[in-house]
Amino acid sequence: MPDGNKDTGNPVIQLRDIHKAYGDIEVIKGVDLTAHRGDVVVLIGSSGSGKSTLLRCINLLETSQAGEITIHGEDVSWKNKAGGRVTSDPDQVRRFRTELSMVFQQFNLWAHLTILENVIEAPVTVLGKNRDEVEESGRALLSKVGIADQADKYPSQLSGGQQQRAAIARALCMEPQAMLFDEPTSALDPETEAEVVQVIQTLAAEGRTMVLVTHDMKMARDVASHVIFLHQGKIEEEGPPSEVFGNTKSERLKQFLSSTH
Amino acid sequence: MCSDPSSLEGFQWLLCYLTTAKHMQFYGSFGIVMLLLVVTVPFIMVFGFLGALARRSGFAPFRWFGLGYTSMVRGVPDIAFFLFVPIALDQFVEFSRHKIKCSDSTEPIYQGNDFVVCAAAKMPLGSAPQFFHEAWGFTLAVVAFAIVFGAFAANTIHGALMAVPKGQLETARAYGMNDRQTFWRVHMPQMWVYALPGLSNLWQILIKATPLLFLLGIEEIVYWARELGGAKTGFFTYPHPDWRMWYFMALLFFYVFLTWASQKAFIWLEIKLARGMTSRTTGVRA
Amino acid sequence: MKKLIIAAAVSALAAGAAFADTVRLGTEGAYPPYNFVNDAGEIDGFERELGDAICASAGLECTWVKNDWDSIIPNLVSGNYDAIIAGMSITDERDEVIDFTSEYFPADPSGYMAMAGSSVDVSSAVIAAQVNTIQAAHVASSGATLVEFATPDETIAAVKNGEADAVLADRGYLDKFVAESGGELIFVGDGIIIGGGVGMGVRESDSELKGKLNDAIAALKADGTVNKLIEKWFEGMTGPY
Repeated sequence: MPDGNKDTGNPVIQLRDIHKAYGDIEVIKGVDLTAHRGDVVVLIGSSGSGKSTLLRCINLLETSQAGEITIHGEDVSWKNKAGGRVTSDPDQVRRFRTELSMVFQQFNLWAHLTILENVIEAPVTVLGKNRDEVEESGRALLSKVGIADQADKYPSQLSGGQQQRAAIARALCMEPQAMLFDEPTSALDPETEAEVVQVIQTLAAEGRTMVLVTHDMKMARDVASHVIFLHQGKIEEEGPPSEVFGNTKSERLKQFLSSTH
Repeated sequence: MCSDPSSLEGFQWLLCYLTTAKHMQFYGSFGIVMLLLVVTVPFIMVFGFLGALARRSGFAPFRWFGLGYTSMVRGVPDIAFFLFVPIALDQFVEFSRHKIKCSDSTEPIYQGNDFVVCAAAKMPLGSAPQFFHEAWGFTLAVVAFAIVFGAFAANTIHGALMAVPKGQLETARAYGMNDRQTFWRVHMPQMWVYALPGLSNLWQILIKATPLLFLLGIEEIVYWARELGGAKTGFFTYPHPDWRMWYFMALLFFYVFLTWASQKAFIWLEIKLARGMTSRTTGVRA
Repeated sequence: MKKLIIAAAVSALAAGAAFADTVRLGTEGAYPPYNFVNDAGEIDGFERELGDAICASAGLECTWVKNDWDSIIPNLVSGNYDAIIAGMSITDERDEVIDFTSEYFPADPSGYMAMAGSSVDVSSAVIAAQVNTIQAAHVASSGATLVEFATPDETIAAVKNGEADAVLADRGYLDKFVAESGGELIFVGDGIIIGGGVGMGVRESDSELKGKLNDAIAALKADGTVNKLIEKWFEGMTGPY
C-alpha cells in the first residue's frame, strides 16, 4: 500500500525519449516522464498537445515508435515490424495493464454490467481472484467513493459524476501500482465535477501513484507533485506545481494558463 | 361412425372429413414446420457466427471467404439457393460414396442427363424405408436454410459486433483482458443488443420461408392446404368443391399467431438483454 | 477386358443381392383418376393399381414417392426415384431427356372444359393448362392466351372463378368434373388428340429397368389387366389393348 516514501527502489513508471506518430504526423516528439511511488504527475497542455496520447502510450493502448517504457524497473519488450515496432510479449503487456489502472474521460463503464459487476469484473476475470472476496472489497470501494447505494444499478442509471466515481472504484479494485487518469472531469457538468475532484484529491493525499491528464488547473495545482506542460508533442516546461504555476518561465505556458482562466 | 361418409351430413360429415388420415398428415406437417424452425436456428446461428468471425479474421483468406459467403448469398435469389444447395449436396454425397464404395465401377457417373451412382452409394439406399428418404430430404433442407439464413445472420452479427462502442472494448483491454476474454466478457454480451432487432427480423423471414420446403420435396402445410383444399370429385371418399380459401385461411391464422408470439418473445428478450444499455450508452432503447 | 466384365458382374451381383428389386416410383398424386392421394392419405388411382401390378409381374419391390409435377423429370434424372408413372404422355421433347416404356394408356383425347352458357372460341380465348404439359404446349401454339398453373386443381379453379375461359386437359381427368357439376361445366368442341400414349418414364441410362417394365406391361396387356383397370377407372371407356 502507499507509504508516501517517494524515493525507494525503481520508479513505478519511467518513460525515456518517447516518440509517437500517426502516419507522417508526429504527435509525441521525445518525452521523458518519471513517476516514483506516491508521485502525482499531472500532464497539462492544450488540445492536440499529445498529453492523452502520451498517457495511452504508458499502458500500451497506443504503440510508441521509439523510446523506452519501464514499469517497476522492467522494460517493455519490443520487436521490430514493418513500419515500426510492436510489443513482443502479450503476457507482459497484460500484466502491466493490470498494474496501471486507467480512468477514462467517458468513464467507459461496461454497459451490460451493474456497477458492482463493473468493479469486480477484471479482478475476477483477469487476476483470477475469489469472487466473494473481491465483491466485499468492491463494495467497500464503492462506499469509499460515496456510491455504495448504487452498486446494483446499471451505469446508464447513474449521473456522470457517479459513473466516474464508479470507474475510479473499478480502477482501485485492481490494487494497481499506479493509476492513469485521462481527463477524468472533462465530460462532467460543474455540479458533479466537484464530487470526482474530491475523490481524486483523497487518493492523492493517500499517496497513490498517479499520472493525470487534465484541463482543470485548480485540480492540477491541488494534487500534483510534478507538473508537465506539453506543447506540440514536447515538454515545454515542467517542475513542482509551485514553480510551474507560481513562477512560470515559458511564454507559451503563461499564455496557456491565462487562456484557461 | 366414419365408415360410410356418403351417408353422413353436416357436422358429422365435417368431423369425419377433418379426421381422415390425410388430414392427420396435414396436421402433422405443422409439426414439420416447427421442427424445421427449431432444428435450423442453432445451425443458422453457428453459420452466422462463423461467417461474422471469418469476416473479422486477421487471416486474409478467411476474410475473403466470409465476405464472399455473405455477399454471394445476399446477391443471389434465395430460391436459387434452395434449389441448388440440396441437389448439389445430395450429388456430392452420392458422388463421394460412389468413389469409396464402388471404386471398381467403370460406369461413368454422368451419363448424358443422368446422374448415376451404384446402388450402394445411394443416399439413402433405394431399399431404405421411406422415412429415411424423408429424413435425408429434411436434412438437406436444414442445410440449405442454414446456409442461406446463416449468411444473413452473419451480416447481422458482423454489424452488431461493429456497433459495440470501441471504448467498451478498449477498456477491457486496458484492464488486462486478452482477446478471448474481451470477446466473451464484453463484446459478445453487448453485441446481442444490436443484433437482436436484425435477428428478430430474420426469424420472421425464416417463418415465412418455410413453404419453400415443398420445393425440396418436403410436404409442408402449404402443400397440404393446396392438396386438401382443391375440388374433389367422386373419386374421393369426401368429395367437395374448391375449399382452398378455408385452408389457406387456417394457414393465415397459424402464421399470424406464430409471428405474433415470436414478436412478443423477442420484445421480452430485447428488454432482458438491453438491461442497462440505454440510448445514452448504446443507441438502443432499454 | 474379361477380368473387368467379371468384376462388374460380381459387383452387380453383390449389389443385386442387397439392393436390387427396390424400385422407387415417382408420381404427382394430384391427377385423378390417374393418380391422387385418397382420404386415407395414400396414393391411389389407376396408376397406383397398374404400377403395383407391373411391379408384381416383373418381380420388383416397389415404393411410391410423391413429387410435384414441375420437378418430376429433374428428380428422376438426379436419381431421387427410378421411374415416373404420372399420366405422362410420351412426347419427343421429353424423350430427349428421359426414356419411356411402351404405353399403358392410349393417346387420351384432350378436351376444353368451360362454364356452361359461356361462348368460348378456343383459338383466341384465355385457356388454362398445367405447366409443362402437352396441353400447355398445344395452347401456346394455338394462338389462344395460355395461363399456366402448377397443379391440375388450379386449372379447374381458374375456369370457375373466371380467370380463364376454359381449361385444356386430358378428357380422363376432366370427365368427372363435368359429370358431377350438374350442368355447370361443359366440354367445348370435340376432343383433340395431342401427343402419344401414356408411358412410364425412366432414366436413359436405365435400360435394364426399362426392359423389365416393358416386359411386364406387355404381359399385363396380354392378360387383360390393363384393359380391366382402364375400364374400372375411366368410366365409359373400353380397354383398347
